[in-house]
Amino acid sequence: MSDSDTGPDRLETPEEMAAATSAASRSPFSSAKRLARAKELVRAIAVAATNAALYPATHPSVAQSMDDLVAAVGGVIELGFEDVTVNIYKATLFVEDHVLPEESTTYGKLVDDLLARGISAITFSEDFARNDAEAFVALMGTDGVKDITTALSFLDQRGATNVAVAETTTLADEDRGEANKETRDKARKQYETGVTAMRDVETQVKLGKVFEIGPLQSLVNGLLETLFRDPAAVLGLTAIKSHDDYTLNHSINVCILSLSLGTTLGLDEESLKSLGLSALLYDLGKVRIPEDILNKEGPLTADEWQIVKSHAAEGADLLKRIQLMDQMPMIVAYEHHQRHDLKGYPDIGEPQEQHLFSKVVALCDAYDAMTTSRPFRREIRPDKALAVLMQGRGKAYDPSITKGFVAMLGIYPMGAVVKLSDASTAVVFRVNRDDLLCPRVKVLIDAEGRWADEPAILDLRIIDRGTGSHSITISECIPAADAGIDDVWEYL
Amino acid sequence: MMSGQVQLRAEEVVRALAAAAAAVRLYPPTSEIPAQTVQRFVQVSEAVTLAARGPVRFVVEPKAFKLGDQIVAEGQAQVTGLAEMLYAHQVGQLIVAPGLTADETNAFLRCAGSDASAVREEGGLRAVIVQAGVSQLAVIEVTLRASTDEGLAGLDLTSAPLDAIGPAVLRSAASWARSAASGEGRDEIGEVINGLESAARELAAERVAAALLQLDEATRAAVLAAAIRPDAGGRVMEGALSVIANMRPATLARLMTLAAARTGGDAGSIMSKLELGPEAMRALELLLRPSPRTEAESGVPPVIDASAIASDAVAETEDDDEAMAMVLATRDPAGEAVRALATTMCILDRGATAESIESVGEAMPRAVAAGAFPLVRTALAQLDILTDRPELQDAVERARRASAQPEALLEGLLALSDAPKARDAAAVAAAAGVVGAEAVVEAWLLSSEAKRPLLVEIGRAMPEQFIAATGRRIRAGDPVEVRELAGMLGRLGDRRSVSVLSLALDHQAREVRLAAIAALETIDAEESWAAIISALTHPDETTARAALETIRRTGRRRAVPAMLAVLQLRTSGTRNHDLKREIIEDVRTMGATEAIPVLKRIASNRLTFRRKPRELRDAARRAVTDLQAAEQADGEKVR
Repeated sequence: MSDSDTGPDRLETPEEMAAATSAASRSPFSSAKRLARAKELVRAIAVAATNAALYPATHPSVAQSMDDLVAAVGGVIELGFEDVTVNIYKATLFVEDHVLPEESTTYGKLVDDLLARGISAITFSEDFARNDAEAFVALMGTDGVKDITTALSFLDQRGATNVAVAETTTLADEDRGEANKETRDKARKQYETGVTAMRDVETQVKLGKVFEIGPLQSLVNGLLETLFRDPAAVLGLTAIKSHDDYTLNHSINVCILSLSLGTTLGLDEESLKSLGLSALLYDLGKVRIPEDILNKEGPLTADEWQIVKSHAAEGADLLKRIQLMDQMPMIVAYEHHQRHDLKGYPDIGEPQEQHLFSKVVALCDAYDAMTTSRPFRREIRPDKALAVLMQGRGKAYDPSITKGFVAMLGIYPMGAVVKLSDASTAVVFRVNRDDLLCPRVKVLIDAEGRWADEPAILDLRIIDRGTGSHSITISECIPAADAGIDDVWEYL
Repeated sequence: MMSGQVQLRAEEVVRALAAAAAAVRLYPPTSEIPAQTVQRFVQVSEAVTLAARGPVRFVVEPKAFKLGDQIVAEGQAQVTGLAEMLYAHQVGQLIVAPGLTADETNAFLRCAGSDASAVREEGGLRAVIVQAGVSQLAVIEVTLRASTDEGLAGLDLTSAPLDAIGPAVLRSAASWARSAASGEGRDEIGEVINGLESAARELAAERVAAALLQLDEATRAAVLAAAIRPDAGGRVMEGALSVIANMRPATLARLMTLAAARTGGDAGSIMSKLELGPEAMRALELLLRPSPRTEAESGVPPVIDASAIASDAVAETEDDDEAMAMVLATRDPAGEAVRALATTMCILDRGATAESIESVGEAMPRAVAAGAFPLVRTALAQLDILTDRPELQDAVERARRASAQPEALLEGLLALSDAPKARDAAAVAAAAGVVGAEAVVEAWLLSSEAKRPLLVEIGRAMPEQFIAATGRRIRAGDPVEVRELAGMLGRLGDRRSVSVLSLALDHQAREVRLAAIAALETIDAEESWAAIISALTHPDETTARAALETIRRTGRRRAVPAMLAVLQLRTSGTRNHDLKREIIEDVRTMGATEAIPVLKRIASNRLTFRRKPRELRDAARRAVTDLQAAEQADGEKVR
């Protein structure tokens, strides 16, 4: 695939990220029709390999299966690929990064035959033709090839230039490399700088002074830059929760979630900067609300509720004089509780649909608030919080954006702590776009409660060929604190 | 886990210590260099231990130092020398703790620089530096065993494998439980940790806690349950509890909950037995208390179907694409400018202050530029109401001025699309005064023919300012522009624009004058007629003829005196014979008998030899004949 050089998390521009994650191309095989082509490719390879083993090369079935393979490769290439790779990772078949659970079992012999030849990845390029198919089928029909070097030379001798085989797959990125760790640490530093900057803003506002917007703009620019380089490093920061600095951490988490969602929606860089700043400041009006009301454990009285509701207009009031390229921070502060169905607050004279940014921020605000422990309730598990958001589609939240948000985060987002079917406890460190229910996890605590010295990495998409189902599944998502985990971010 | 940056700084620690060791060895005590290098080491150490939030431990190899698995400052002669020196003392690890002083460093370097065999005789480098008062720099000699004792006391807690420490801790806890049950308990963990020099103590406690985490949960809970069991003297196993108290809050909260379940007590009572700092205490309290509000009360569904949510989230429909396109369309600068103004107006509604008024003013230019004239008009009306309040008058004035930005007005006017908006635009432009009028004029010049009627309507709503602005432009503009503006005034049809068009009649460009005549023709007023008539005497024959043609079209007898005036002009300097001939023809056609005397004068001109004057004379003669005949006929009719 065209982005194989940079890897799935090394996208350079917002446009690239959007292309990789927008609703239309969340996974190259996200629609049934597209997926059918991937499945057909694997079927064609398996049939060609079987026929090559059963019949002589001149047999009509072999010829037919080669034609079918050429057609199947073309079918996938037509979807917009420059080349397509079939991967085998832990005996499970993938086309590109898309897992094919059923095929992994059905075509188990193909997997075995490939692995027996030292092959874990086959890449077909767009000019794949009959002569390439003949060479590949011949490779699968011979028992003499036992390793990748021989396999490569076998194909080379037969002039196959449009099919390549490899011993390892790009899926096996077991853990983040050193460079990514640096990015992760840099992102954390940006986060902490952000908390400081937001604290300064809060202090200035409380003192009735004008705050400086420059540090906040730098923060957004920095986060965006890191987001473009390593989206996971930035999104993972939202796993940082703080009880004491809730407001500050929350605003930065909302900013990060909004930037990530804005990127998947395909917003341009200028729009993302405006969205980011709006997401940092949308709740600024709360500095004018007494803390004892904000942190009250019990239910609010009608009067208290009115005071709390005033924070939207108060926020807009505080932001009304900020004149940048637009006045979105003020608008988002005013609109973020108006809801998709416009039944929220503050009252607006003439009904007007919430602005895109207000919808994005409202969604990210709700998610981060729900998944953070508050004085009046414990944190809600991420999967449950997402269920609440999905339930609120068309009412509090925009249906399309909510779907995009869930597709972006996955059902078990980065940083979610999960109990696995083998009773071990793990933290999700990467969401698999092709299977939102089966992320990649790091197993921190075994079934008996022993903490691992070096957490093992599991891709939950992996299929147990014996049973034809996933080897290990998520039993439930649990609050990190319940598992005894303090700072989930450390494990991302 | 040490970040990359801290790791780099940690290398500096080794380099700085090596430099200090070399300086102490090479320079005389009187030199300032040893003191400077020691001070540098102290500073670097402080920074690194602060960043690492605790002691930093280096493994000492025969010729190198390692931090974790990584060799640091590899190949540097001074560092190799320091490693060799320490290794000669059988040092396996070097620990640098926060709070290190220059005195301690000097003492350490003095001891380390001494002869290794002599140091060994005094009990080894570890004992010697402790004796010298060095507490924040520690060394661990090359052995996993801290002593010849069995069990925990026999382990070097700073370096022994965690899987060796864990079972030893468990045995110690069991031993405590047994001894406590029968009288005075023996706190082996406390004894071992307290026996370490302070630099190593924190590290040892951390490693014991880490070892506990590698035990299974039931065993870990058993250790805590045993440690809180009081002995006959009411003492608990403080050494174990101090280690446990240093665990992180969530880990500790879970452990306390499990231990409480095991002992049949509650986690709160276990917490009271731990020496916790106020922060840790608060964090634990929050973790251990039940949620004030249930999930159901927070709107969380009791059961969730994760598969259904996942399918729903990735399902793609055409409706989704359409809905998304609509949502994305709200990201539109013009729309946002309107929202911004509407929002500032809502804020103003909540309470008018100078600031909220100014924010309305600041939002107005963008809204104007976006063509949101109805909203801007409302905002101006909202501001008008506030002029009653003297304390706000200045702010209102500033806000109103802010709405009158030429570029914004022009942009907004160019975006006009319908008549209702044009009416609001007219009000806004009028409120903007001269600037508004000038913007309308400019917009007219830049607009297509289709949009110009809307702009004329706006001009009509503010005629005086509009005409004045056009006049200024006519005076300064280039011919093409002025011709366009003359046409615009013609469409305006306002008699007040005649004076401006009269200016155009004097314009040096003929096409401008012709346009002005055409415009004047459309204005049904005496003044415009007079202006056209005046053009008959224009020295440019084409201009005068155009005026004549206009007069001819309208057939106005009132023009006759002016026409006669043209006829009486001396023609020596001008070449208007054709015009005069046409005038003669026109007065004849009109039956303007009052022209007879003038015509007779021309007809009687005898000294005419050139062709054109002769033709003129002949025409005059014919006209006189016809007019006299007509006059006579009229006279007879009267009779």
